[in-house]
Amino acid sequence: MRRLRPESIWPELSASPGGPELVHRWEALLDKAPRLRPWLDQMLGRHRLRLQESGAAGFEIERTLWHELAQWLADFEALPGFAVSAIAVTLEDERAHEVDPDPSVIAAEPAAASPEQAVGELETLLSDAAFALAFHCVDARLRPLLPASGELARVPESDWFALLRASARPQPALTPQVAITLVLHVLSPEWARNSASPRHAALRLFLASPLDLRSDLQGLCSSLPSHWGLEPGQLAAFVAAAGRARVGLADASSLCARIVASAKARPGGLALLADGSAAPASPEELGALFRNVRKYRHMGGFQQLLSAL
Amino acid sequence: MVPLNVAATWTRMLSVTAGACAAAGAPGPGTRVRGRPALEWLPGPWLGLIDFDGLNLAEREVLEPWLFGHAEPLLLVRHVLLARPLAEDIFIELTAQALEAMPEGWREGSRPILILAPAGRTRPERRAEYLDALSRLRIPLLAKGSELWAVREFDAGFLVALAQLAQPRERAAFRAAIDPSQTRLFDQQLAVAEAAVLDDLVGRRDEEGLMALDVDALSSLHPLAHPLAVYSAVERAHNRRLPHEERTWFSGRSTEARLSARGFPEPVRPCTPEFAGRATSVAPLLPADLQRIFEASELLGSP
Repeated sequence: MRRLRPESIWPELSASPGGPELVHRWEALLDKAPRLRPWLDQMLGRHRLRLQESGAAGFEIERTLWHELAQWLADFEALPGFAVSAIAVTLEDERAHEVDPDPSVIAAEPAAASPEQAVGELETLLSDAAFALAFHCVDARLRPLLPASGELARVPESDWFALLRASARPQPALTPQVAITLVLHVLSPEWARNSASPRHAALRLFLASPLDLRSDLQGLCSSLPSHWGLEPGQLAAFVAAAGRARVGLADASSLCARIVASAKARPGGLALLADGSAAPASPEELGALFRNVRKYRHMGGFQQLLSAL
Repeated sequence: MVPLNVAATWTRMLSVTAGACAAAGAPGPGTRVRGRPALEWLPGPWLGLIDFDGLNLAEREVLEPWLFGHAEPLLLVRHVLLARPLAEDIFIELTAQALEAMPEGWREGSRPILILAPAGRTRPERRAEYLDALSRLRIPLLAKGSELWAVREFDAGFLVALAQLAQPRERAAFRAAIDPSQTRLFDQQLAVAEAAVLDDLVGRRDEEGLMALDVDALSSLHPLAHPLAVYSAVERAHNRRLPHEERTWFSGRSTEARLSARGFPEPVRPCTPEFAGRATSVAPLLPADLQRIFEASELLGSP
């Protein structure tokens, strides 16, 4: 992302008596939501260009931009802080929406996450022992199974996560698998930026068996996400890796249940993850959890989890 | 009142607002099929039948006033017209509010019916009871029989918790019991969670999965077929490939086929080249997908 010096984005100060005060208030807002800065720069640039093309005089352009800055600022300042941060995240993704696909493609796109959703997802995962445990299980059992090099290196980890989540059966209850797929969902926000056709082709391939690869695969290959760069000859490796990833998901869910079974107490949502049939985790499995504290020390939920063991 | 497990309810609330589902099953009016909400196939709201069988008395006493005092209009704007809850006996009785809200002539034709059943709480024979009762009702709403009714299962414990938290005293007690650093988050999340649950009840937050892809593909080949009918055919084709414990019985047609012993064994023809040509023009399909969708297409036309 291009970082701009703060002074480079503002209109001419001489065009507005209230300019310095506006800059001060904007800077206070941008300190809280720094991702707004490139968006603001772009907006000012676009509006300046439009005004120039309309033949407005330079002073008039600068005065109009100050007026718009004041209006936007009033709107942002009226929002709660969390919403400004969340909107900033959404705005950063705006480029992904700057396309003009045909309406049927738009209709097939998933709904973009609202600011409330974005905030909820983040805060959820930072605050509860159940999801801290799910994070650890993803690290311990799933990540090591995903191909990070070789012919599948261009398939990002987050895409594997999204496909695993899509392959899991929806369950209207919180189970170890649901907690883990929720973490996978939050770790794969980029997936929704692919259009429907590549997402669907990718999911079909992800769930394919080796027998499915006997047919003509050129059509499927051309529908897959282009950044994967997969050729028909590489699909067998993908299908094998997908199978291992699915096993990893099941294994991560079992580990989650075993660690819950080992807990002396079940704070937060850990009680919801309890599976009466799971055996306690082994000392090695619990040791790996404690070693992971270096990575997740900032999570309140992780501290809760450790104190429960 | 139902005693609330504060920690468990709080975690569940956070999980639902973060994207975990509180209801799942057959498509609802908000489920998108080929990018369009399923409600667009037939004009008018779907009939919603919430099943209280499996809920205890205290849960029913919390849920009923909340449903009909608070949630009913919120479901109506989500295109579900809620009837009185089903209890041990199954019959359709519209509330005064539903009678007032229903579009003119709505009762005179067949409409999609969504049974909202508590997940993990219903008796194994409950599906058969739905089928039996709905088959006996000779009313225009049910003119299309099992083709247009289906089940979505919801998290009953969480719905009861939300109903309870709608009461100021319960909400204040809950708020006082959670970590003080999270009260602000609770204030934000409660409304978000309620909206998410109502959306889940009608399928608005349903996500992409293999079933949904197959429903989309089959619907593309039979664009006029109602999404519930398409779903039932796809569900039956999937069930053929699953071990018994993993099969689902969300669509009325699946339940009917199973109970009338038509479900197994069913004759299976191999996919024809003509069908393969049509289907692969809609989406790139692997051989196993193609055969499954072909079978679903054959089932679509048969009871």
